[in-house]
Formats: sequence, structure tokens, C-alpha cells
Amino acid sequence: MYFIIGGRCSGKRDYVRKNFGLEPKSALEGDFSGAIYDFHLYIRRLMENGGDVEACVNKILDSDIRVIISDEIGCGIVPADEFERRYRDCVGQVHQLLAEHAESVVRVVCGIGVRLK
Amino acid sequence: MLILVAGGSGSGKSEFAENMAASAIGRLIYVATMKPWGEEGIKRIEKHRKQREGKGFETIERCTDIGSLDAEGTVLLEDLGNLAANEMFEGDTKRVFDGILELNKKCSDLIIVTDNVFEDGNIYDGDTERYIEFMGMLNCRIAAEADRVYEVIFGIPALIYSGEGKK
Repeated sequence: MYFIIGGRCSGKRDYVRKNFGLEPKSALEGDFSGAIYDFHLYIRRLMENGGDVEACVNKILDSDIRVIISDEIGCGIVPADEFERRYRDCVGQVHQLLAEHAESVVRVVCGIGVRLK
Repeated sequence: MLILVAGGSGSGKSEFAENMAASAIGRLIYVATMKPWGEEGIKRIEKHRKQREGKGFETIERCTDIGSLDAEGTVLLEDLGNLAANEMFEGDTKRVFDGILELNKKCSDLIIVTDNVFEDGNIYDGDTERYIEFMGMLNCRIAAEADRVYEVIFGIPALIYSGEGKK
């Protein structure tokens, strides 16, 4: 699995189209094959619905998904709202897990892929 | 040569870009795009002015329509975030990217400083959301044209793309 991370609007989906020849699908649609994007929003929805984040992520890691795209959301002021704080922490932890399991991690900045792993 | 320098607030991207520009030979132009809003804005402009003092820049203040600038030699555009906001709120958004291409044709080197406004996880009101999307699109399009792209982190410039001589 390739893990593609970066700020919003940083060109991650275009990067995947160009480098993997895959059309990324929204993770909110629930089809975890090929390439998916907005994985952070999938985590957020799980949290809002009281789902088991760890179990869901592990299930996806065990599948044959090729590319996971997610947004970096942890580089701002710590929010005053409790849920927003938990959301950022949880997404950060999930990203660490994805990075650990990925065969490669690429951070996209201004549309340019910077290989981190 | 077109060079894009990206980085967060206080990352040292301006100083890096200024020093890189100042090492060039020939005419050195600083295009200041910020509108001086209130006391804080004036202080900020003053800080940047001091920072580049003695480096040999001629300063041109231009908040919009940079494509129509008369320029030559090395041009440092500081910064894209202000230019994009000015054109978005009281100008013409099309003039940003097209203006950069125009300006790049006139000068020998164009160095553009840009912001990282994409990683805080916040959802904003409509105008700010549109601004973030606009900035993301501009960064990607400029980087795709650029000969070099740097990201400055804690004052350390990382060269993330180099395709010199591709054009």
C-alpha cells in the first residue's frame, strides 16, 4: 500500500493519477479498492457515528488496497472544541499506523511528491 | 528561471528567498504585494523592509495586475498569498497565474514566495474556503512551471523539485 499525505488542495489526487494511473475514489463511498482519498473524513465519520476506528483501519490494512490519500490536518492551532481535538489526535495516530504499514509514504507539496519512506 | 519558495508562517522562507535573489548579478527588483492594513500591517511591512535593507533591492509596490509590470533582471515577488487575496477580493483572479507567466517572460529570474495554508484541518466560511482552494491551485500550477521548488522548514530550505533547463 502507498500512503499519500499532504495539506488540502496540494495536488495529491493528480499525483496519484499521474504516478499510479488510478482514479481515486472518496473513502466516504466505502469502496476500499484501488485508490481512495479523504481518508481523514472517513475517520471523522467513524468517530461521529461511534464506530471502532482501530478495527476499521486494520480491516482496510488487511485488504489489497493500493493507495490511501489523506489530508494533513494537525498543523494548526489546537481547537477549543473537545471533539475537534480528539479528531486531530485520532487522525494523526491513524496516519502513523498507515505510514508504518505502507511500503512507501509520499508527502505532496505544491503538487510535487516528496518521498518520506 | 522560475523559482517557487513555499513555507509556513515564520518558517524563514522570505529571508531565504531574499538571500537567493540578492546573490544574483544585475538589476534586483522586489515586488511587494501586501496592502498596508492598519498598524500591524505597517509594522509587518517595516520588518520586511529592514530585513532586506542593504541587499540592493529596488522596491515596487504592486497589489494587483503584476503582469503589466515593467521588469527585468531578478524579480522577487513577495508574496503570492497577498496577491491572490487582493485579486480575489477586488480584482481579477485570472490575472494571478497569467500575470506570473507574463512577468516571468520579462525578467531573467523570477522568485515567488508562497504560503502553506493547507494543513490546519479547519473548515472556514465560503470566502476563506475559496481562497484556500485558489491558493492550492496556484501553488500546483506555478510549481508545474517552475525550474526549482523549495519548501522552507524551520529556516532550512529543502529543494523538493529541480528541473533546470527543462525549458
